[in-house]
Amino acid sequence: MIDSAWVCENGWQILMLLVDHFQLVGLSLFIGAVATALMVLMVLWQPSLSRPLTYISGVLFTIPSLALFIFLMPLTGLSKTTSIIGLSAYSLLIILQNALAGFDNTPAEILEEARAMGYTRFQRFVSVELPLAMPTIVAGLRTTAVTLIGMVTVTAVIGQGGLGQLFVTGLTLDFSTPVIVSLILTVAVALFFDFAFYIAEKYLFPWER
Amino acid sequence: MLRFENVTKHHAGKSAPAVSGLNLLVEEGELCVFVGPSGCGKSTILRMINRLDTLDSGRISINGVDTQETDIVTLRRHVGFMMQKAALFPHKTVEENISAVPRLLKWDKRRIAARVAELMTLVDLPTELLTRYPNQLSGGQQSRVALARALASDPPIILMDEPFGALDPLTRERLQDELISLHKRLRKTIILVTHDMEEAIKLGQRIAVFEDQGKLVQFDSPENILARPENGFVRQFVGNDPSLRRLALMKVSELNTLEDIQGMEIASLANSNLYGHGETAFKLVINNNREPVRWISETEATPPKLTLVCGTNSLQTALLEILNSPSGVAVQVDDHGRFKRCISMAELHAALQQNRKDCAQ
Repeated sequence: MIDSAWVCENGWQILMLLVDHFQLVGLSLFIGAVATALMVLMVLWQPSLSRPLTYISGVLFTIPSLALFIFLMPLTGLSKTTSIIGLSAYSLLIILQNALAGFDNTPAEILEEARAMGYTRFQRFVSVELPLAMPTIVAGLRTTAVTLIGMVTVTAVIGQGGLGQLFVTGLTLDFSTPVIVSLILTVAVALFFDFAFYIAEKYLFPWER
Repeated sequence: MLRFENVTKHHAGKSAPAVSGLNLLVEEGELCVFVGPSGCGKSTILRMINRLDTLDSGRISINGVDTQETDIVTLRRHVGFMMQKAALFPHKTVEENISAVPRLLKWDKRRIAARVAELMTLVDLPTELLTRYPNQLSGGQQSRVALARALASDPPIILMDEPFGALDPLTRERLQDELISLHKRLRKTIILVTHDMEEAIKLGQRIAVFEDQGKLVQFDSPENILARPENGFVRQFVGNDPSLRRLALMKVSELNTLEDIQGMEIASLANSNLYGHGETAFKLVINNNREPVRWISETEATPPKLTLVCGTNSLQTALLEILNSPSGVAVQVDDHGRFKRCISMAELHAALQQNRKDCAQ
């Protein structure tokens, strides 16, 4: 089923695609997280912004991915930028929803206690609200990372897509090896991200369970 | 000295005031309990002290200084606060929780470490727990940490909002006892809110009984509240038969010894002395250090389990021991765990009669 000669011959290229894949996911996740952080700060400053911002990220999330990339193409071309913009846009909803839920679910009595102990508003945010919201925020990043790893392959239509390009190769050559290799590696990358997050969560939030 | 002058508060959107025209003076070093039915405004009154709730009019002052004129953060860092659900920071270790306020006050590291160690001893927690997180502690331990945290910066005033409400009865009783002895040692002004009259009577040097809308009905010592309730509301709140509550207020050490104890006999068995109650078939085994060891029985196969009371226990505890023990007496030991005597029902009865006579005068 797998032509091992092909795999050996194209080993270097496969590796480069793998690196590409990591890069696309990592950068999109990072940009999504930074954008979300800004939105969260806006909501903390003006709570009424919570609904419209969630709504906008929701609308972005519902645009079919293929359509979004094709729509972006005239603007940014067949570049990494195009795929990163698209992927970052998709990451917003999950990260934002989790972040807002994280802040909402901070127990009221704990915030009250912090107030009673004489924490200033800033101290309360930095040393109580934010650390307590972090596990939910990171859980959102984890879900988003795994979602993006699958979604990256779609950007193969604009000549990007990391391992997704192997799907296109396999399809055009009517040859199953690249497809299977790509599939295995994509799943492996997803598992790797998921596990890395799991370890990070255990290490960062020792108070949880 | 904590003084409320004409303090009034309305909750937004409600016509009835939450607190109306409250005047109250809590002495320095006093353990004062606010008691009243749920929703009577007692918590609001407590929370107005450190300005968690605002007041509409009137004045609250600490040692003559208006709290409204104190910087809010400074005020709160110098008033200890403990609430019902312990409310420890779940993401901070026990050490970090206890040292939270000293850190805010920018104490140096060595002073903080010394203070934390001191507090752990004070609330009777082993130092191994310092690195634990709150969810790794039992409810009782969490309450102890919360208490240590409230005491951390050595504030002159401590506010407690139903601090033991969420604990099981046994743990609650133990923590109440410890709070009393802590208060005796530290001489802090403590204001504790509860809806439990029994707790109020046990803990309070003075009790403020509140009716709905934060109306202060009676502010007096527990003895006087039991003996002379101000009105029907207080009488009802105290309960129809205050005898049991009076027993809770009296200490075993205050009992007069009655003659009838002479019915006890002493026998010798191997290395032990036996104390037996004239009519029952149980004898108490006492070792050479005069410490009671267990009951033995001549007729029944299984003698009752031995439990002890000491001078600081209440007569209510002694009564429970008597009722639960088939031997019909409570065994009292001294501070060193040595046998002192047995307490009988007749003695409790006599003590209660005497107390009633004293209060009537």
